[in-house]
Amino acid sequence: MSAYVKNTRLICLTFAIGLGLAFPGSVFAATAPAKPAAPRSAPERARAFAALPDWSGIWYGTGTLFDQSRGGRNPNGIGNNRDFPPYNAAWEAKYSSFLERVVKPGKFVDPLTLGYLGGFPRIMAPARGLQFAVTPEQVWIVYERPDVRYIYTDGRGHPPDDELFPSWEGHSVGRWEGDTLVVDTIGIKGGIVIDRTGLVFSDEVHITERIHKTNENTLEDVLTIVDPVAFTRPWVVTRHYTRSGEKDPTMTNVSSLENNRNPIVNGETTVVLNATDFNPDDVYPADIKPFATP
Amino acid sequence: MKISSVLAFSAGLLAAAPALAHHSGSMFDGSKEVTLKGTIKTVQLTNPHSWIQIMVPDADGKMVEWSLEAAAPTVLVRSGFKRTSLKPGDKVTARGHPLRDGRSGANLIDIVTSSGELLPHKSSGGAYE
Repeated sequence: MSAYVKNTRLICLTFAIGLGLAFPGSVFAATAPAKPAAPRSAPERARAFAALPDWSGIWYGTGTLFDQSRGGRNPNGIGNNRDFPPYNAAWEAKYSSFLERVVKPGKFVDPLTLGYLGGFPRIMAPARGLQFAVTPEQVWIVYERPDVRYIYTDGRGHPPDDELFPSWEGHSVGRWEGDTLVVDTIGIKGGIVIDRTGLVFSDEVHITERIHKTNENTLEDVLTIVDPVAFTRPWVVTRHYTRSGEKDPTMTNVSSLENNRNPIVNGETTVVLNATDFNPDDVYPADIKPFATP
Repeated sequence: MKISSVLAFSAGLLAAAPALAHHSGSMFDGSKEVTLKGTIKTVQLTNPHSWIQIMVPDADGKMVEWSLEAAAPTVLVRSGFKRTSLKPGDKVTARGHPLRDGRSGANLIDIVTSSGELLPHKSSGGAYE
């Protein structure tokens, strides 16, 4: 590991320890892995299940901006058109250049259009239904896209640095404090787009969360985002989710590339307006058609 | 572009109806609204976006094909859309947020079917579409 990265990790750890002192009860990353909890007997596991809160159902979030505290408007002409992360000057300049491109039709290519994942924390700003599968060993946050977060609550820590490979969702460990899930995430790929304004973090980003129900039909996630490369201070973002009242909703997965009428041409997102002129099956040889054209 | 059956572009009323917050990408202008009275040509109930093609007469009576982008089918179902709600040949009135570049495309706000049913395009917004 380069000296730069080592120093950054030391700064990050010091920062995180400071946070741990400033915010009692928050989890900070230990680079030494903890031993997973010993396997339980079936009755012990059943008791562990019974102690978990009920987060069943389909949950919907609101707003197209990641941080809703400033009105949650989207970059399409109304109200606030951007997030306000505590970027340093260099990253604010990078973000501003994205914002300029967003309002020019087609100039800002969202990676989702290309079929890439949104990952974490973008999954916490869902446009579709979010579900939580809560078990004693793991919590899975399942998004109707598909996309999944794996939160290990079996007592383990993060892997050592030379076994940690950056991913879309990062590596998440958590523990229960009563009915609140406290989560710690590192190892997120740097530079992935978090919302449609082009919000991005560095690969050193370290996110802690406190997730709990504030009432029967409202779930709250308070995210504390520490990015020693991009930010001048921690950024606290609170998001809320409402439990759907739908009866027996059907969940499904989608692919960005099916019936893709937004092909990227010369680095710009375009839109095909004449439906009959555009046949997505043309990208495949005639004898290998994965699905029928609608 | 003059289209007689399109009402004047008006300031968006999204502040009054946050549940209908704009759901698609930057190519649509969330602060503008068009109303389209026409006949359905094609309905594509597909993932991740459905598309409804409507033939709308312009000021000279010439038919213009408008493309309306909407949500995936399982999301539309949650707003009351059925597979049979919209069919080619149906006369409908649709509202949408138009393309910024002025071409005949829009993101669906709601649609009144030929039987008079108003189907809202309910979306919770969200950065991860």
